[in-house]
Amino acid sequence: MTIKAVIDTGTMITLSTTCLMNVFKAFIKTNQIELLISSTVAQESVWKPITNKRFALSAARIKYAMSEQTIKTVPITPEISNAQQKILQLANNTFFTKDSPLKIIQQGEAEALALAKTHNAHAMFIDERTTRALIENPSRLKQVLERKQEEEVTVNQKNLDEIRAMFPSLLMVRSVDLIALAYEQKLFDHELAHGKLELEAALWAAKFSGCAVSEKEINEYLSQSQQK
Amino acid sequence: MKPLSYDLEEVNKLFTEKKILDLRGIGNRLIRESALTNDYGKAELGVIAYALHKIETKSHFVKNPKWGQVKQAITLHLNEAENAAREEDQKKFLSSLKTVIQSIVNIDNELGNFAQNIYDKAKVKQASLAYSYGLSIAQSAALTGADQKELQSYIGFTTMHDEEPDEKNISQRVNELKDLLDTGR
Repeated sequence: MTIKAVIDTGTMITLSTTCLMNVFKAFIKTNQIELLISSTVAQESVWKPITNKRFALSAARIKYAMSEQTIKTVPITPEISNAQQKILQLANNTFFTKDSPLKIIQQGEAEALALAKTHNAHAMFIDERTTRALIENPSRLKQVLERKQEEEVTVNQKNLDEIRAMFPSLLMVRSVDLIALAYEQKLFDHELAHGKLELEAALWAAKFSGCAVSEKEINEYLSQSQQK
Repeated sequence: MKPLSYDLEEVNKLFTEKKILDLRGIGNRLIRESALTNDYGKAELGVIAYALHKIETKSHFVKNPKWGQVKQAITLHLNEAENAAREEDQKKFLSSLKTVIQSIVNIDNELGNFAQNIYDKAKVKQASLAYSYGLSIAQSAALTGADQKELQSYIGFTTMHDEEPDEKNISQRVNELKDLLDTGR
């Protein structure tokens, strides 16, 4: 059976800027993953950055992966659009300060989630911390919001329950997790040698590209993988 | 939370008096408040304050005679924006801020040493602050008008993700993915 997964802009950016697209393509093929991207996310990861000289090459790599059908671009249907609006409405009216609701996510992130919902995706490849925490662990997100904003944050539990009920079993995966599993599956040889040095370099490159992962996590994983 | 007209007056005062660190401080406060209220006007002023602070730290800008003229023009337009905010004239307020931004971009094009201009860098820097307050990357980028890729790349070089360790570590997520791939097949 094929696994369905949706990929968000950030993860596409991480994998293309770290030059790991060939490893990623091999990962998708080996694991028979049907990988979907919404047309807005495609716009954010390809068509907009391709005009920015600094990021044009990485955008061109993503464009190539799309043309090869490694990633399928899904046009926005009224069903996706409705789900996106519902997600935006719920997510941005869940956490409140004394003044107003906190607008925490944008159209693109809501659209990626809407695509996951309407296509019954099993997993979402997402490097971004806030959207992931909203689905996985909103109480932790509340703590972060409170600590950083130095204000009490209240939760609209009804909205929170509703948005979480939309994704009861969606697995959230970051680019570092994909890189680690690709290494365990010996798929690095599509781009690099299969070695600990290459694994470490790839994980750090993903972190420096903006994947939400801590130094401690990387070191822990490297030390575990050395013991294997 | 202070009204926008008060913030404009403060930014202008600190800029005129060359209180560089305070200018940076007010820029950060404005971003914090805009993240709370989703106020794009405050966010824009937060970016302007940061960019002005940055320029004032660069001797090749402040020692150049052209900067004096530009500074005078910026002060004038900040004053216009303040009056417009007080009169709740949104159109005039935005147009005055736009003129301030254009003045920053123009002088930077003329005197700056980097390919990426100070104002664009200021948008990314201040968006990273919004991200640290808990907003998503896209929402933070939208708030200040920063490029999302630039923002993601900038955040990657900060210690933000070390300060808030993830709930599940790499091994746990890898195992979950393995289970999904095994059971799904």
